Amino acid sequence: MSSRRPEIARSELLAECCQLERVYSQGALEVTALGGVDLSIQHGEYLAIMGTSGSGKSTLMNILGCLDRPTRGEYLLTGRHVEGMEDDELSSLRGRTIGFVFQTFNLLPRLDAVDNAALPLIYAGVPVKERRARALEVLEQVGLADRSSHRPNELSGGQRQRVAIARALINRPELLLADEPTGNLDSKTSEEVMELLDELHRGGTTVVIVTHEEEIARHCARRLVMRDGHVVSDDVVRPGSLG
Amino acid sequence: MSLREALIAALSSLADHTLRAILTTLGVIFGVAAVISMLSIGAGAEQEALELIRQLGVRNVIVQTKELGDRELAEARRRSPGLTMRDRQAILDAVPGVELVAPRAKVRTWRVASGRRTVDANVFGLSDEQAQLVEMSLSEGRFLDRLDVESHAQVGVLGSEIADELFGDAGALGELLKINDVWIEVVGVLAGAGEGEGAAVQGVSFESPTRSILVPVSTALRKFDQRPSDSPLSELVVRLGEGEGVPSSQAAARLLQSLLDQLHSGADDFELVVPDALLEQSRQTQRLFNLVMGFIAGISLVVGGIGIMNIMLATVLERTREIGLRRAVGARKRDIVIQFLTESFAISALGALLGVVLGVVLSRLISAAADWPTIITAFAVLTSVGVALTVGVIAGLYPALRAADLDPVDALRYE
Repeated sequence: MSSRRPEIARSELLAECCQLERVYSQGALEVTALGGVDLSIQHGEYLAIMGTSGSGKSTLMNILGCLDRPTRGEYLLTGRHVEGMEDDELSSLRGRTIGFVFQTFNLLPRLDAVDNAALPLIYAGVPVKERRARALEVLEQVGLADRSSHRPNELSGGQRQRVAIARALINRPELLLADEPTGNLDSKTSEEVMELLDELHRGGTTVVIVTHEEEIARHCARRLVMRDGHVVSDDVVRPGSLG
Repeated sequence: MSLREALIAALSSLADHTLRAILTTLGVIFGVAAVISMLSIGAGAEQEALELIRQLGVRNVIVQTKELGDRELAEARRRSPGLTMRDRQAILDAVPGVELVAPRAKVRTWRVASGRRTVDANVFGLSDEQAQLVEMSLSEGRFLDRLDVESHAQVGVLGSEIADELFGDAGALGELLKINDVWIEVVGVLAGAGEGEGAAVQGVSFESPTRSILVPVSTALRKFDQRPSDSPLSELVVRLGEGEGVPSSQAAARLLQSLLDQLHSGADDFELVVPDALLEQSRQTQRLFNLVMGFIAGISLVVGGIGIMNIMLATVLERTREIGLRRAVGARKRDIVIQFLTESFAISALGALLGVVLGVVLSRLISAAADWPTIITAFAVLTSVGVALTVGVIAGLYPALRAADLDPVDALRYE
């Protein structure tokens, strides 16, 4: 897989968080999910965000993915401030700059693999004819070219997650966010999916994985550990693989 | 997402739940079917009424003998003999703008026969003016003329069925028949284009011309026995001319009323039928009917709309994760609104389509079962379909907005 981004962008920061806070109101009660997080992610990084449940890792991931907005603090994605953006701008950012991979795959059961993979193209305004070709292209990339007309219920768990990864890749995102991508898979399939993510990383895609499994985090070059809404450690395990 | 695409997606989503879609749309189906079939009955009835009123003639005013009970009749006869040829002359003399007055007398018959063959026939005394009033098409011979009337001639024009029954293929012209004990020579036979059965509108009845025998009115009055209490004439048709100085039919009716009141010494033994007024009355009845039907059908459509809203709310709930996912891969709120609006639109369009089909079928069935004429108008179809589609979009609006307003994070996490 070849690098798709121009070299000039590699020296810049892809994402930059400054004193990110996220507070949920539950009636009169205020729950702090993130209590001031600073984080920088460079192009081409392979990052694991770890922590127990309730540590704030999913909240951080949602904010990184522009699904949620911080209560306080700044978040810059590709140099643009996200926190003040209109809803439509956020949608566009999610569609073009970010690719999501979920624990539960979130494929639409009525659509076959091609249409599932092509879903983001509908909202990116890509003409119908082009969509299919591009979907087949990414399905081939994840090794599912021969399953393109199968519906999710005709696919195994690993295959479903591959379709989901193909969907995340179809708009050539800057940032691939995977939330417990192997949480619903057995260990053998998990390993296959992780190999695919490794490969994408080697191809130049910035990959961020949220996980609580040591096994998974081992694949990543950088490891961020969270507890109670704060970053407690941020280690580069394999400096060589940084962009 | 283009609208065309959204529509295709909505239809495929409906196809996945065909039964549910049809159940949901039942309200709309019945609403649309009700509007179409009800309006078709209304339109049919209206057309029939208009047709009959036109047969009466909108420039005519009809003076009829009133049906009275024995005591009222005795009371009336003390002051007035009923409708007479004298009334006819008075109307011609006194009411301005009258073109002609055609009298009509009903002859009581006990036997109508030729040789051994007898028939049941309605025998009327008419004048030659009748031919100016209604077009009389004859299959053979001639209609009654003025000379017949002036000379009390014992001649008659037969309806086609009567001619057929009495004389068969031999031809009726010149033959003799006997009505009661009066010999009548056949001078003409009416063309058999009659409606078959009689008809009635707003109290005015039309006898079938095919079962009639028409004789000169003078003959009817002079040569046939009448009961003393019977009004000599059963009706006078007053035809108004056209142009300046001619009163409207309603004004003419008022003049006729006061003239005849005077002639009949105030006896209440006649009534006026003004086709022009009947026409207006019939239209008003029709408007009221349409209003009531429209209201009932409207309620049905509103209920249908509530059904659609209900199912759309359920659909939104059912597809919360899908909504979250679509938002995550770049769908704007607007895209979600369009998706669900298109779906509710498609449901109502399906309902409208089935409703039109059902409406047409119902209207045909009613036509066949009750023997009412029905007319399906473009107005009924367009209005009901238009309202159904509007209801569909309105009913889908709230669920669609709710779907779009879901928080993407919550939606993705929804179980």
